[in-house]
Amino acid sequence: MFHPFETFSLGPFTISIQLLFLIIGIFLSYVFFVTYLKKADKGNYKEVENHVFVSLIIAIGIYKLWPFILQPSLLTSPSNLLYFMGGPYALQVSVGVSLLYFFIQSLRKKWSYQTFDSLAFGVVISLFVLSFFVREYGQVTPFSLGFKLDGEVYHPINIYKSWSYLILIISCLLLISKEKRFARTIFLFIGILFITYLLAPFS
Amino acid sequence: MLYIKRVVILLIILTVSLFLWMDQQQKRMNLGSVATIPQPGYTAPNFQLNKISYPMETITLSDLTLTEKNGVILYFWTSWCPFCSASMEALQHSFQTYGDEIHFVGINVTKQDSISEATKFLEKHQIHFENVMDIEGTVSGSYYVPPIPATIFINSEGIITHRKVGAITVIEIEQSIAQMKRGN
Repeated sequence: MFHPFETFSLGPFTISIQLLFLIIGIFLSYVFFVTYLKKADKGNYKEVENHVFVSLIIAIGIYKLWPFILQPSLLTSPSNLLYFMGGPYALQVSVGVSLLYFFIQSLRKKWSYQTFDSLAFGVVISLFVLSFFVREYGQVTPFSLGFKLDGEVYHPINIYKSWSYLILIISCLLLISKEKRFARTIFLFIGILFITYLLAPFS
Repeated sequence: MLYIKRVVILLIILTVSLFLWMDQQQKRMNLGSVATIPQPGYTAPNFQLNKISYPMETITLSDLTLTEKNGVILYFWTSWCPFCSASMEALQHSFQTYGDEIHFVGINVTKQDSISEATKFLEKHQIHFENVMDIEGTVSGSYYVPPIPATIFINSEGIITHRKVGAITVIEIEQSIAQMKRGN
């Protein structure tokens, strides 16, 4: 397990561990998403895949350009386009707009419920990968198991999360029928909320 | 298949029960200590470093958080980094507005820079807030820097409220200061 702000360097490129595992998580989600749709025999998976990419580009584009929307005076120096990104509410707005785009496309093209099931699985897989590899400290724990730091033991929140997400994925695959419309999507969504609520006292 | 399903249901019940039991134990113990980790929600690692302008004088983080001001902004930078130039000006601009209520401290990662280049950089950008030298790189290391620049917002209780890696704008600094004040 790694500290989220540790960096991994390859030649001139440096990337934080948190971002690295987020990218790995998204990649694995994508592999699962395509495999799931192929298995469900949905011929339109190429079309859905294209719109997933467009959504991703919308999210990255808004996140990158957000400082210039909030502070247009930055555009007076073109090099600022290289330097700045993100900022207040950048993540929320970029994710919100890309989800809105995807939702509108799904209504227009009348995509099947399996598309949403596969995407919901993808989200949980990303969360699992991130929590499995990236360390997250919680409150001081009265138990002896946990992350030790400065003589204190802290709740290993990421281990709790990764275990819970793993159980969620397995239980959804085994207990919820793929034939029931949106059942898996709803189960996974409620599962994420429940895990968040269950682990909140330790965070 | 039925056997596997039963095992999964049992695992769910055991997991939920375990977390609920742990919650009860946690409430009984009432432990409130906050770990010292360089990430939001945790206590910022303390340090003492020499100033660039007056090398015989030092700045200690714990002394700054004990004052009447609303918190501290730490800004890790080097003179050769173009991202640092871009956001150093934003910090100087914010210092003019919030300098009376917030401590602004620039930390030059001198291990990857030189004192002469750092001094030239400060003169070139007309920086008026305090800057210190991290010659050994130990403070930078304890804050997981590089990547450079990195800006850390610490409230008056010594808790990190926001951490930004990369260039920062005036608007983001203002929003983070508001967040820092809310956390006091």
